[in-house]
Amino acid sequence: MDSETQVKEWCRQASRGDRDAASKLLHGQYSRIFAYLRRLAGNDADAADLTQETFRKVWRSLDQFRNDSSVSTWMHRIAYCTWVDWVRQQRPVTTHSEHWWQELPGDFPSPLEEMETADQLRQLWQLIDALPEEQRMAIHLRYGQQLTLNETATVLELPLSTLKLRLRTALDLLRSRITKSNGDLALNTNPLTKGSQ
Amino acid sequence: MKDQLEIENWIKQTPAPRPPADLLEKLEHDLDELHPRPQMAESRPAPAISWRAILRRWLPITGFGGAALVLAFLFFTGSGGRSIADAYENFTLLNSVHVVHHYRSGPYQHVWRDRSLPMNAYPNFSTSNHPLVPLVADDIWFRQNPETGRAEMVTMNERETIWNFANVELRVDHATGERTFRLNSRPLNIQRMAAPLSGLTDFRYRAVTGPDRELVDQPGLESCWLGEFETRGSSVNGWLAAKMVIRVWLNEEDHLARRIEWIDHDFADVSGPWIMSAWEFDDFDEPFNDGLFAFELTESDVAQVGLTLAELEQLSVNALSIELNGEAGVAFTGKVRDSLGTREVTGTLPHVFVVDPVGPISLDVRLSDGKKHTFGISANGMSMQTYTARIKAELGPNGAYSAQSSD
Repeated sequence: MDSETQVKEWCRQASRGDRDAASKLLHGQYSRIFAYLRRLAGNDADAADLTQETFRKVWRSLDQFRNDSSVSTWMHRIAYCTWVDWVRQQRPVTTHSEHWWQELPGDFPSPLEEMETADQLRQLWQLIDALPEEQRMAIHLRYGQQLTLNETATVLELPLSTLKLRLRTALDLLRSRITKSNGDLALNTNPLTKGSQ
Repeated sequence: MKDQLEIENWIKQTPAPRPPADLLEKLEHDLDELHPRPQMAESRPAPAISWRAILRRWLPITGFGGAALVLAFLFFTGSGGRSIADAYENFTLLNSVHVVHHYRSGPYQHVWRDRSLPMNAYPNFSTSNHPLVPLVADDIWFRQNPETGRAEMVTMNERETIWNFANVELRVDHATGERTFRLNSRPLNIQRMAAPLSGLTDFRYRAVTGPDRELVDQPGLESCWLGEFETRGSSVNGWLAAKMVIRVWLNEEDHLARRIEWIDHDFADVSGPWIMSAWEFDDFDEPFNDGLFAFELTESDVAQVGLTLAELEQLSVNALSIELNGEAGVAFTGKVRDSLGTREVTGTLPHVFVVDPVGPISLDVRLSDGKKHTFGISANGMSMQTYTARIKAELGPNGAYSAQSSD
């Protein structure tokens, strides 16, 4: 039995009340769903709340799962909708604090030689966060979560061609804000300037 | 192309954020409470966690700005359509305006989408933004001094009158005469009044004419251009999540909006469409009577936040009052940090204190007994309350606000 078949079997067993199967599903998926929501929400507390809410919906909807997508794609779809609902209800005035940028994107291997890379990645995620919302969502799922194109399109309920266009536009935008330095890519010094969109 | 691949690789290389240590334990706990076990369903009470979960997620009331931002987030579809953007720009050039804001206000109502599930189980929920909740209205008069930029606003509804001048806010209850004084540092300017339009500028509107228009038109607005934008519904496992319509009436002579409607179809038990909120705009650049905006503060007013009138004079327009509320008498201790440093706050609920910050504020308050109680925070016109032992909040100098329970 391959891993996806195994996961679907756990899903089927969980829908029939098998608590152990549900726990296996949870252990296999929760950190990935958290990572996705953490990048969107910008802080651990909200991401944890959203992850809890996502899995509550998962447990309530197990019998609705259809085998026409992977379990991971289905859960990402629920996580995405949970995020959209949360934004609607929260109506946040702003989404992120400066503190968030210090924390993003998470733990790095460490020492000094990694600091420059870490700093560049933080800046890159700042640029991603400044993208138009529909492009940002596509980037997070396709590259942050490393879903396939088809999986990302399923989560966002988009035609594949529309998704590809969004990704290409987003990457073009990112590239326009990144300069070449000694042959390598380097980020502009003011990555949050939105005027150039 | 090579550059794009490098960017893709950069993103993919980013380490994933790690979950908090206690998250898995919480999820397992939820699983115990929420995972369906058909053979036990009859004996299990409805999950007690659901209402707390809803409360913990906070429901800040952000008024104009929040609604506009939500619209902007949900419905952005690219440029096109009539020049709502011009209408927004024109609005921001005004120095005075009268706005009527219609919105749903009243007790929460159920949205019972799936009757096979308990009322508090997804996809069912309760909301005060429900068609069976009365549509009420705020009458708002705003003016600003073009020389100084100082603005003043008075808001009247059935319950109360609210005066705002810079960061000073005084509410008077019509029934009891009770006066409530607060400092609200959320910027008071014409952009705040234009916020309902700001999120609508990029939609592609369909002109509504003929019989379609007769069904939805409003008295006195027949000569305006009427545009309609319909959101795409989305679904989770087949449940319709949202279908909304935005209507904008635009006067083509002065290129100013006269009315905006936000119509929702997304209610299971009551067939729509329903106007969930609406804004009417008129009296552009009218020289309102000074008496409309006049109010006087007393020592007992400002004492509500621990100030004297003399002390109030010394504060900047960035000063705000923060109210900690909840179960009366419960002791708390916390820290308030801004760019200049950290100060401690202690006391018992309810408690109001004033901060005159430099830069953004972060707030971390714990209940002294370490136990969960009804506990909330109000600041800058937004209010939240939940069941927790700790609250963290951030307040930005531009009115940005976020808060969360943190157990």
